[in-house]
Amino acid sequence: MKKIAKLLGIGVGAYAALFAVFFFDLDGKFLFHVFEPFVKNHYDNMPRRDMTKMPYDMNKYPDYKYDEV
Amino acid sequence: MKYFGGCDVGSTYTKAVILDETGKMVADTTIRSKINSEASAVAAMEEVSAKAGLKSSKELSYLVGTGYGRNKVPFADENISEISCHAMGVHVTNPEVKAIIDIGGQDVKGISVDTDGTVKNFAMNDKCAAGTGRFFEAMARSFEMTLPEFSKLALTAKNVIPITAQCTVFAESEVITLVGEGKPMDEIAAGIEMAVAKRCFVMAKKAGATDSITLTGGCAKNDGLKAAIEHVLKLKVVNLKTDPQLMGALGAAEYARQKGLAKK
Amino acid sequence: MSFIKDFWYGKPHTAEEGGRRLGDNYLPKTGLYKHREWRGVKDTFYYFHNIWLYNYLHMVMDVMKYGGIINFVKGVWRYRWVGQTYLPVLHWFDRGLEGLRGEALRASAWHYRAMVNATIYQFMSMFNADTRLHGGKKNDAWYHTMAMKETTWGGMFYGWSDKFKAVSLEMIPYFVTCHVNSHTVHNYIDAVQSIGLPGDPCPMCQAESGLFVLDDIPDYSPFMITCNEACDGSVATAILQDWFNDKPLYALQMPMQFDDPLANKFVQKDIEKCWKFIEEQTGVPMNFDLMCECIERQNELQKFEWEKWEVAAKTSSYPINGVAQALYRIYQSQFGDLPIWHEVDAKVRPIMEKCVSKKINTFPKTRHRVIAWSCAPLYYSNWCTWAYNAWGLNVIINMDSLMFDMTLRTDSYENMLEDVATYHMWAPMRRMAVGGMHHIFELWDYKERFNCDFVMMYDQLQCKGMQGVHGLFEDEFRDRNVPAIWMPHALPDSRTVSRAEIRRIINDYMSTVMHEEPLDPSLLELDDDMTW
Repeated sequence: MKKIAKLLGIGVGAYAALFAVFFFDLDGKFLFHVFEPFVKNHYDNMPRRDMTKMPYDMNKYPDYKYDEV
Repeated sequence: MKYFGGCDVGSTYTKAVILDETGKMVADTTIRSKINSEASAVAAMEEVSAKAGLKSSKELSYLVGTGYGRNKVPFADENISEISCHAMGVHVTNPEVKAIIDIGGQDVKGISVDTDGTVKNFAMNDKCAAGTGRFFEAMARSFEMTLPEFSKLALTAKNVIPITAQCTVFAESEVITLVGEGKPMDEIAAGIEMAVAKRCFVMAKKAGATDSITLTGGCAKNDGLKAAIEHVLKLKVVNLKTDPQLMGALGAAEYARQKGLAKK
Repeated sequence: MSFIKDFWYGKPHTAEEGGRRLGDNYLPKTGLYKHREWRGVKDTFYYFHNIWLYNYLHMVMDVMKYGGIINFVKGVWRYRWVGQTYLPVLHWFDRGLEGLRGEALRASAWHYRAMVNATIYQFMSMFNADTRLHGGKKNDAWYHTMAMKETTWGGMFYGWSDKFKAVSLEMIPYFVTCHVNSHTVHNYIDAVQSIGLPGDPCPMCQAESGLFVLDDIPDYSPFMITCNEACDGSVATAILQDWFNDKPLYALQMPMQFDDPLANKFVQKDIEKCWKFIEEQTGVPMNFDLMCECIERQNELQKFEWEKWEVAAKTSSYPINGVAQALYRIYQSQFGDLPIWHEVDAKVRPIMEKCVSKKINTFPKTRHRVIAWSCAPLYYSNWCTWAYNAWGLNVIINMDSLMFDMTLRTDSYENMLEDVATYHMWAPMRRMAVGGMHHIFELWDYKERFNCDFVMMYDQLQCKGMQGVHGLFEDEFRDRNVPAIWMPHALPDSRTVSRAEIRRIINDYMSTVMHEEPLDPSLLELDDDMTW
């Protein structure tokens, strides 16, 4: 009985916490103020290939012209 | 006697008008706008109240704010869009006019007026300084003239030298080049007026102008521009009975009068 | 007493009735909420359970179902367009569903749910196949995924759908991100301008190219199919993509004259050549029976869409709001047939039938029935939710929804191919924007058909095609005495014309020309310049 009451209490507490997150837009606030700046910093500093250095070889692949289909 | 006020806080000039109960204009003022639009409104209202013989604008029964900084008129009873106020201002001055081009310091508007002075439709270009008061100021500066001097210059031109640059910045460079080449100043000025008049073509259409139009805003005092519009657009430009630059403030004051009288 | 009533039912809409003042819920600048909207007990808890919790849970389930958490985390860590964009997706729901109650809330939310599922399916398909997330190795998924440009219709590849997945290159990395988090796309636009592209071409094409410039497109397919829809901007993008992607490529050429029977014959041949290219690349022949099966399923979706349009046109009981209608339709028609569309339609049908049979007025504060025309601002697709709440402008239908207004025949190969060619020629923005002047006349037909009295004319500043007919529309509005607002915008780029500017333009028109008072004055001036 005590265990059930404890589980129920935990359940109610979790539900209330979730509702608080929902109602006070805590998920949005976290994502905006914490998560997005963090990942933005990560992406901004990520090493990337310089794509303009890639040679443009127009003859590398066939023309794929099919005269008779 | 009750008095009603309108304050039009523009980007370049702040205008204020006071009307009495009968709609007669008892005072008006135009001052250069400060950086702080609230300070501009305060200064204009103090000046116009003094001219009307009032101790302060608090003695007004109703005050309407409008214009670029319309939400910054702190003691206004209400704020109304400048488009509505210009339409109403023209309506009380020249009720037969139904199409307006308002060329302000930083924007150009085409307004179609209904029979009761309200707005039927409008269009606005507030993204580009070309064809606005800023443009004329820049041109007058290039000519080393005041605006009133510049505005009359084009009237003596026998030919028009077209200005091809669309942008105010590039147009200024082009004008300096033409002056440096020794081209006649009045013909260059005529080209400038023509360039602005052509820009007004779209606004005139949007304003629903068929045979006549009027100009409001500071640029309406530019005689060269009026002549260019009549020539390019084939429209008669109606001269307003009151200073065209005051139309926004006048319309705001008229709205104040109507709402103030209805408030009893 | 009124507190208890407001708590139970939610505050009424308008200022005269007490006013819910939705604008007061916002935190300055960010667009975040002080607290989410209290819609009354029933609708608030519906939102909490059936939208917020349900979608968070199903997003996790969808990730697990379509590829697993490891691929997802790798993808989020590698690609900005996922990590920076898709986690705030519930805020996208909030923005689009703001102010909705009852059946309108339910039906519109189901549409959003479908789009989320389709999005997760697409990007997980990319991640499963992406060599960059698998140590450079080409796995089985890589060999069984096809990459195509987002303006190429997904249904072109139905004939291989039992063995291959067709995944659009830019739909998820670009198009969808703009709606959910408008910050992400700025990086791609700036990147392509940094290599010399001027700022005035279509920002859609800029962003699509910028993804490649920043090396932010997964390598998930051995070949790609591109297309010249909708215009030359797209062709320029395709050239840049060809350069950076460096794979065998087939370029579909869609004629501008989308309704010319001779052009249709040309397109049929071109589609067959594209199929031949795919057969060569994959070694798998096109399965006509499978193609027909998928088309018939898609036709079912189209038929239900027509039923929805009937309700929208003839009643006040249409339960889907403007943004849900527009976005769902674009996703559905471009992605092609997916199970989620059928699941969601099955959920929406009973809601709509209930509204019709009980004559429920789903948008009771409608003052104007609006038809929205031309290309919508992607960063402010929920403007219509704001417009309904602030001014009673109810967007009943829009141009994007009306694009693929047809079913496809499957009785013979020839008929099927002819209809596939037509369907593809009626591509986004081709039929209704840059492909000639028919849409100038179609706007009036559809306006009458849907009983609209107001036009919202989107004015994409960089679209030369639409600017060419701007004056014609203006003349028509004047001659027909139709109230119309021109809404300038820069498609995905919120920096050029801000949301506040768009609202100001609408506010000015409604107060100055229409002489109306706002339903909710708190929404007129909002500072949301940093919002997602």
